[in-house]
Amino acid sequence: MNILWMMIPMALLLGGGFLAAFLWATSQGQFDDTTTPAHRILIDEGQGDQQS
Amino acid sequence: MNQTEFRYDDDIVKKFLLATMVFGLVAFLVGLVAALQLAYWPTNLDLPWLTFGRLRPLHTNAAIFAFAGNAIFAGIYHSSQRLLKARMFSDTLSRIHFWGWQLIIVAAAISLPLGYSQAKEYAELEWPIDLAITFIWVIFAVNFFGTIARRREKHLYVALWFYIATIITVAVLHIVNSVEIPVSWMNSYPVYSGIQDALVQWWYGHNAVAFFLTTPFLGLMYYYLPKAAHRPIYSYRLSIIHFWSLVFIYIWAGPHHLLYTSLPEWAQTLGMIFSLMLWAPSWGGMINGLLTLRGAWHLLRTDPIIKFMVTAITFYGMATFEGPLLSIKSVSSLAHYTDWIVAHVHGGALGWNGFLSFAMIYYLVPKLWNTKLYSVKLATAHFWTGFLGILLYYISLMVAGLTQGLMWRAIDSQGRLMYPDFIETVTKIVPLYWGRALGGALFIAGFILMIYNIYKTIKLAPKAEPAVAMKVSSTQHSSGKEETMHRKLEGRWALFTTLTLIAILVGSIIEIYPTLSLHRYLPEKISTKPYSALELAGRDIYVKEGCYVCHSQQIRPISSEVLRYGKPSTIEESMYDRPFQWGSKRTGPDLARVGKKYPDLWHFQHMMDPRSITPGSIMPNYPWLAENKVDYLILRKKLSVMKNLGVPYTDEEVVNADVMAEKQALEIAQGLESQGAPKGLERKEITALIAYLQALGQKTSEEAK
Amino acid sequence: MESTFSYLDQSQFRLLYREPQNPRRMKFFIEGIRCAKCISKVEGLRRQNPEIETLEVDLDNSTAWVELTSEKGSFGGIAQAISNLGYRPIPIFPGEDVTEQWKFESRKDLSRLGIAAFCAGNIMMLAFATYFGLVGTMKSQFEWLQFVLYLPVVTYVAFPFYQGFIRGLRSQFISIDGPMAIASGFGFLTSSWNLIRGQGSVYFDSLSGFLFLILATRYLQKRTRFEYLKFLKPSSLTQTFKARLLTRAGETWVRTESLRVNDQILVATNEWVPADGILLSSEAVIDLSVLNGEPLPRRVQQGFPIKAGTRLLSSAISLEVKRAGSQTFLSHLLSTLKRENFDESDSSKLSDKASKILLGSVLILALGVLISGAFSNFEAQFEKALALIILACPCAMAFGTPLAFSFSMKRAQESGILVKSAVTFEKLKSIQTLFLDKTGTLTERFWNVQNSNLAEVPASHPQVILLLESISQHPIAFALREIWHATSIPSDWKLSELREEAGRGVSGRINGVLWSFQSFQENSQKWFGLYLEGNLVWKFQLLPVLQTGAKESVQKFLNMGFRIKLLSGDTQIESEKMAQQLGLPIRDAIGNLTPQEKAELVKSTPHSLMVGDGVNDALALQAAQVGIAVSGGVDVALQSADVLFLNEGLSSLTELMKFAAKARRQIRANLTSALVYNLIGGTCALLGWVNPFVAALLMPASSLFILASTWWGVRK
Repeated sequence: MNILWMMIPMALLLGGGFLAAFLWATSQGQFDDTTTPAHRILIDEGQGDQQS
Repeated sequence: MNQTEFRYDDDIVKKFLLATMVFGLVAFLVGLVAALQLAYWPTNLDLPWLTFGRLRPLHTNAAIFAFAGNAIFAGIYHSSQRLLKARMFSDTLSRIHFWGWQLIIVAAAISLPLGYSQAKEYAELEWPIDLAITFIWVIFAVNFFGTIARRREKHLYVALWFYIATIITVAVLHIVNSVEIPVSWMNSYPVYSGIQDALVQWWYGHNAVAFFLTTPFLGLMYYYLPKAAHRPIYSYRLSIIHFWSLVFIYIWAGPHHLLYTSLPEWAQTLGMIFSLMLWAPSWGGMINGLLTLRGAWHLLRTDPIIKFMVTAITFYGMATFEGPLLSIKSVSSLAHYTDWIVAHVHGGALGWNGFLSFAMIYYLVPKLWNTKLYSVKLATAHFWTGFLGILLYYISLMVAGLTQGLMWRAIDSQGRLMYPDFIETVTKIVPLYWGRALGGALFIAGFILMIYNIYKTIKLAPKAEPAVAMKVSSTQHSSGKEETMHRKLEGRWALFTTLTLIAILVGSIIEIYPTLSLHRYLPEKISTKPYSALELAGRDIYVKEGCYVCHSQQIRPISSEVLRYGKPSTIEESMYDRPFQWGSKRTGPDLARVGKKYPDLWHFQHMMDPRSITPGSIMPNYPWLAENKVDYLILRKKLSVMKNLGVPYTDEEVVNADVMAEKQALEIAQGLESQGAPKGLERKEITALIAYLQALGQKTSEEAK
Repeated sequence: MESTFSYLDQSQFRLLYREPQNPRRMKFFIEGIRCAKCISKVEGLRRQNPEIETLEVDLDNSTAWVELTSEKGSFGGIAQAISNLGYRPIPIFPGEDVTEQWKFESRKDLSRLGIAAFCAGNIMMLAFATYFGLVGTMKSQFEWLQFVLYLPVVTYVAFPFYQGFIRGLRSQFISIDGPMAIASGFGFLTSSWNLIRGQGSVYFDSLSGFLFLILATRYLQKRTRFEYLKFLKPSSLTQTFKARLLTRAGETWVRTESLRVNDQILVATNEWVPADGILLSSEAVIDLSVLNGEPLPRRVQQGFPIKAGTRLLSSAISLEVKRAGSQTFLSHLLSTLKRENFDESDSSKLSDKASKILLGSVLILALGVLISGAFSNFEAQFEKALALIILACPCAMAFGTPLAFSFSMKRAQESGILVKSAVTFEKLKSIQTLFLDKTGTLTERFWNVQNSNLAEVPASHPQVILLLESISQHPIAFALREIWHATSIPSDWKLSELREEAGRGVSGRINGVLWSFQSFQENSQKWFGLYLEGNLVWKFQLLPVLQTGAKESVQKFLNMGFRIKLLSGDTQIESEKMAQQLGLPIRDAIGNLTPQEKAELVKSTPHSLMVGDGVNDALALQAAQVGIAVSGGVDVALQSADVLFLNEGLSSLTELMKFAAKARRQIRANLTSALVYNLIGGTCALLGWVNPFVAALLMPASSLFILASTWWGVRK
């Protein structure tokens, strides 16, 4: 079971990486507004997508 | 004013879309052939490269990496550009990614039928292809994160987070599970052995499903469902919670694939608990998807895209409900190794991945080719045939699995097995295999309707006009000197890539260290003898022919199983197995203790014509095993690699590997000959294979326990 | 051309309203933003206007950040463009922007929550492995890993609990943070000690799990609080923070504080008067309803004092400033109100008796266990005592109580009742007297047509009256315009021979037909009549209108045993009339009250609840044990209140009482079940009936149980 001593640090690192990403996103205000982004993707900007 | 003119790169999206359809057809057809082989064994055609053992890996790899993979890339390349309001970072990288990936697929399609396999599920491809995958994946990652760095939209929509998780995690999973030491150009041994290999493999196997077939498709769902339904996702906040909880829980659910194996009890229970915890985020995501259509359910009647999507999401919900259910130990004891698992997987693959991809294709093709779908009626027909196909497929295999599982465990009042002959449990479910093949055929029929529909759509599309330039203004604000400094520091994609690299590096170091010094962790008294050179050669043939696809080598501590196969498997028994061959499906009986159970001749005849021994058997014939020669010389190299990995071969055994193998082969061949087998088998594959089969379960002495 | 929004580009105004860190950014509240189309329309301006660097809409809060490409750009032009699209942009003063404050707080909390989740999750996984049968070296290695993962928890994640504990100690009460802080700290020390010496239990998993759950609950609570504060939109009174100063060079916008006595300012129609002053123009009609609850507009003459916070109804006037900034009557009101902030951990006092009992009994129990150990195995008993404290207190009090509160707040919110802070539920328990503001609470804010002699009034009648009164400066005319604001006059009507007689009424010919509109006395009451060629065709009265269901609600409260008092700034007579209509004794109606008098009255009555809507109620709302603002009221009222009713009428009050009772009952249930659970569990553990595996599963199970039972217990 010594393989666990590779997998646990591995998972902690991976998890830690995602945690860092989460903290980064929070500090950037990515989660400040949880309504507008959902609507914004529906807007097709520019002309290319407009024919629909 | 911060607006620039640029064009989206839709050409690459078109390429991936077409590849999706081409390889989808291949994957499905190979699957259909494999299904027919189970229902009617002569479909194996006695051709080595067409036997089930080699086709099944081809089918899974094609379905996952060729069909789903290309669909994911098409979706990611299309939606990311729009979500980030930027053209892809580099057109060259996009092309390298596309052509590289298709080359990998072609290489897989050639090498797998030829028997070049590592025999680890969904990671069968040999090491040069593994390297190529890593390379292309890094190209993809650089291209993707480069686009994120150049984005004109400040907010990263939740779909992008799902893509990010996919790219990072798949990289780590693939690299960790593929650490192997080459023996030759198309042959290698994994550094992990036995239970270690099993753990890593199922950590990978489970997360391949999680991060290749779940997270990217969830990302696609969160983008294409709102787009197709013209309304925002029901709760954006819930989708964010969905993402983060999924990412943190999924990675740990792997051990549920190893319930009742010789994995320590606590690790099994842990895997089970984490699997059960997955219920919450998965269903959160499903409900979020379905509720998006609140007030738009009428679209379900008229719009085939919505039909496909809603069904896909429902299948996602069902599969994610069934998964944790199957990971409950008592359920697993019945369902594991049966066709129920195959049903479960196909519910997810055909229903969730397949239907979501189809929805995406129907949505994207008219948009990209600037036209209308050729026929909505055909699309609707596709939906219904496909849906019927999945139902038929799922129900057949679910019933087959339950039937067989119950028969395996049936014990009469005297404590004897009610169906001691394995073949009884097989012939019982063969009709259901026909049902499943029919289901698969229906699914393919629908798919062909789509190909025709899409072909007509593209053909009738107006002549390609130059892509319209986007005039897009940015919500990224860049202002003041401090800000620019800040932005430089942010260098997000650089940060991510560095993080990944560090993770991978540290992981690799930590990983290689203990395995290289494996001997230090072995029990004081090593009671397991390593395979002899010939047995190792035989084992490699076992691996090559994909025997693990139908035969497990892991007896669970369940009374019916002990009655049928012998005492439960132990960790020591497989401690030198590279790769481990515990298996995940029992189309045929378990082989962990088959050694010395039957005479050599029995095995010879069984391999040449299984039905001469077991009437009604659905196993293919293996006549070429008596013709192909074994390369004894390479055994020196193989043993030396094994020795370096910690297997206690003496230097003498390594140097004389070929001689000793030939000697053992001669004894077996002479024995066979004396019982009436043809002459001159000593150099043939069948001899090595018999040597290996007879060694199974014989390597650990009784007192070692 | 002078645009409505040119003030946005005046340097003084810009200095105040732009983002402090970035002079090119300003935030607007945009009335009318609702859907994806709105985003696309407003954000689409980016493509048309080269002066816009970024324009980002926040749909949830109906706000938008505007960033100019250069400091020379015009916010006014952009605001005009937004206004042309059909929305109403109002600049937001950064110091009062509750949304930005929330974002800042929320980011901090989310980060803490993320770290807590990561550490707790991994610790739990490692701990579970040991519960599920992992033994030997690997077990102790796993425990050391838990120790490492707990370090950020005990230092960073638990920090707010230590703070709260110390803050509580300073002001001499045991806050709910206390048990949590003690558990986290001591649990860490004991577990580490056990780890070092290699025997005994470690509690990293339970501690980090609880800390995470409690933080998550608190975050939810804060969120609900923000939902409340979000209603403090810069819709009305924030308009009084800026003023149009008249100088020789023309008019400039200034911040109200910078006005001096004897400055002259300009106020346009429908604007709020920003300073107390003397009317320089000959005449003005003003709406005082917000300030003192007067139900009818009032006409004032040159030289008359006008207070800040009144709304001008007639055409533009000039004022001479007498008191400005913090000196005005309005600021005086405002300054006595405390400011809101998020950090106030409102539910931290152990206010409930039951939780005191629980804490006491757990401590006594622990002491008992400890003493019993003095005679046998002290060390083992010490650990059991500690386990009892660590596991019993936080679960029930720090988790169960705020959970019940935040679920109840959430449910109340779904019913249109916004509760600012959970303490309100506690405070509602002892309420005996209800003070109800008359105008706007029991009645509609404006008077309305009553006692009409026609069962069905032809649509043309109001139109005729409006046309006749169209240029009138009489307060009644303004009142009628408010009442019939949705009515429009047909374009082909032509008015001639219009005559207005002071104190009598108006008359004129519409398309040649003679109409007149006059007031008269009948049975010593004031009536209005519409005459066609001299014949009375319609007569009616203008009277306060009771809100629907007001009487029923009042009767219900009386039956429930509450004392009800009617408060009004209006005359005593009007108040008594209203009391009669509601079926209240006349002595319970008190009129002619100033805001201060209202507050005094409420303050001097213990266990009082006040319902009100205007600025004139703000002080009283704050003075009351529980203050409730009614929808449509003014932000000052919301700010000083504890609860906001989004739906009209008093029926929400009954619902609120129900929610509060349910929340309190649930808290008690949680405390009891925790106590019982811990007693039984503790006893079984002491007797050795429970193995560690079961015990380990029981802990998260009890949390889940509390979660589920609370969810069920506070449902509608």
